[in-house]
Amino acid sequence: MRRSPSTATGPVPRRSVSLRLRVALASALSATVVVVLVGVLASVLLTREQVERLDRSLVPGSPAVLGSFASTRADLAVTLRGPTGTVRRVSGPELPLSPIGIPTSVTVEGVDYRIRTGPGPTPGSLVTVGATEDDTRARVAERERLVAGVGVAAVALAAGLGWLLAGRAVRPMRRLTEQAATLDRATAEPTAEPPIVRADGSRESEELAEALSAMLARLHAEQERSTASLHAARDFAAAARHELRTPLTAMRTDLEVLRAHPDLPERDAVLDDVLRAQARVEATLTALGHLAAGDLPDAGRGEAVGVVDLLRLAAEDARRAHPDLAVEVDAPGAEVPESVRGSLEGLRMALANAVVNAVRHGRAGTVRLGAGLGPDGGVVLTVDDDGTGLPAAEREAVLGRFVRGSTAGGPGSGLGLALVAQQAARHGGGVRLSEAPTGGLRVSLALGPDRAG
Amino acid sequence: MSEPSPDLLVVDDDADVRASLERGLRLSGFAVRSAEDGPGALRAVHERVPDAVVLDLGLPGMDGVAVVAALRAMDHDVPVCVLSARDTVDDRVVGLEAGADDYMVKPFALTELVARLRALLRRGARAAPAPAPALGEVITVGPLRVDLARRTVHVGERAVDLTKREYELLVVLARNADVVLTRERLLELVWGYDFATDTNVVDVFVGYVRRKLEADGTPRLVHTVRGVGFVLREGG
Repeated sequence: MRRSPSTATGPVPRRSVSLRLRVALASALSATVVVVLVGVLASVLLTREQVERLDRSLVPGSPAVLGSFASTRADLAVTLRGPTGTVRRVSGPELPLSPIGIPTSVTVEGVDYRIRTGPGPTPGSLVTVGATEDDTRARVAERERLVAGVGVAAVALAAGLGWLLAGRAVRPMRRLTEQAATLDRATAEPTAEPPIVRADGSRESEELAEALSAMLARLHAEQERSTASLHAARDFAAAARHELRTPLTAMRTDLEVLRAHPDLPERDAVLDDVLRAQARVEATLTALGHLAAGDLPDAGRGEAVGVVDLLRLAAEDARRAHPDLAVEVDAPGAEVPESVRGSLEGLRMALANAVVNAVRHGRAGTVRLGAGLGPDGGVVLTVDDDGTGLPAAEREAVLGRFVRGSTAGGPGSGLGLALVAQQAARHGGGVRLSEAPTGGLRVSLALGPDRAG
Repeated sequence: MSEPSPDLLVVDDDADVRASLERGLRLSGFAVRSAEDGPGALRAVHERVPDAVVLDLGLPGMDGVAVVAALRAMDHDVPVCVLSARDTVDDRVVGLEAGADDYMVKPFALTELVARLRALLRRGARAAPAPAPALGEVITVGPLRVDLARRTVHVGERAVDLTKREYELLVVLARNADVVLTRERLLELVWGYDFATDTNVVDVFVGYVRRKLEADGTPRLVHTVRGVGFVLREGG
């Protein structure tokens, strides 16, 4: 009944007795108890009944009759006693005297007799009739053997039935085991549905199967998540490698030119190009670092960030980073909550990236920062510019990582708006690009409604 | 260097890469034109067919593979060296399979690119890798039949369609049937690279040729001699 484990790794632990065998043994044991009790009772009753029957047959009668009767049966003995104490054996050995009318067991010449004494045919005489108990005992023993045989059969039957029924009862368990054994193969398929194990047939096995299925579903979901993030990380790494290789190619070519032509008249221009390529690499690495940090699960609900403070800080950042840019801040309306919960640094960086996008790719001269209330009640931070805008068809795509718009100018990593989108997602919202009232592009960074206040 | 500078077309969507390649190649003695996307490249070819093309595979819209395919479909057999910013085999495979002659992975050494371009141009200047074949000259190795005059290849009854570079590789291997050729020797004979260069372009092209020859289950003809090179022969 033992199944050798399908994957033989390490020492096989000692197996317990199978459930099926246990049930069979238990039913055999209970049957044995019942059979023994019934057997003992039957034996006692049988013996008593046989003895009573024997006793009833010991009816004293006339010696002659008794004698003729006794002579036909070797197991009978009759002894006649006269009034004077003379003893006359009619048949068999001499039987002792016993109290009148009461059947008694005696042993005569090594043979067990059941005797009964009664008044004889003549006054004063006593006749004692005895019968050997061998016959009775033999009959009792025969009945007892029958009972014992039936008992053994009953025990065997109980064991067999227990075995069969337990086999049916543990069948769901077996099925469960078989399914579990094939699970690792099923789950190895990357696109596989979460595996479901079934073990209909008993409530316990169904509950076990349900619990197992639920556990497998959890594991499956977990596995899918980690597979997806692994794929995302791999794609991301490939894209990052690709993105870094482009400026590095330009840099390497420029450096080789400088080495091959030490007296190049346009030397300074080449050096400027090298520096620009280097700045691109650096910016891409910085953005990658921010992205990686923002990909980490949000630690708690963040701090309370004043909306006005945030806009003021972002405007200062923008003026510092882009001295030629006119930065304006619209005071938020009264309906806008005073503060939001989130990461001040994250939101500041997101707004800074939106501004960089406006300057670098929109070639904007003015940006306008503001805050409003979204249709879902969440705060929406807006960065409007007066730049060249972006074709509507590209507004979704440029939010992706390493995607640059067709109107993109100057160096860029293709990560700026992706960073804005990431911060919006981190704050339970999203980013929408639209046309600004000032003619350029509007970046709307919506925060989740639960972030207000 | 009295002859006119070879006319190069550089196609890359990144302005920085384009600018530095233009400058580097110009200073290396080429006349350089550039284009920033596929349609622009085809327009430039239409204006004047360049002597060689340096082509980025990762162009937005019409990508480098499509440009190579379009060039070959228009019967332009100018040498094309593709540039890839990804080092996965897939990109190389598609770029070269479409008919490009060589590939380089970004970032690469400008001197290396210049050396390869010069070799490809020299090779292109000579019409064929060998003296013009006499009519009716046919090389036969087992089921393989290469008709040098018609530039056709048959395996048994099946015609095999090879790109220019694949055909030249097969001809060199077939002319030297039963002779093991090293990668260096093949680079020299097929690509004209008579300098040490780090590339597995030979292996990639051998892979293409094999795939085409064995398409209908024909036993392998081009064998790898481990650690040495390749040999064309019938049987193991």
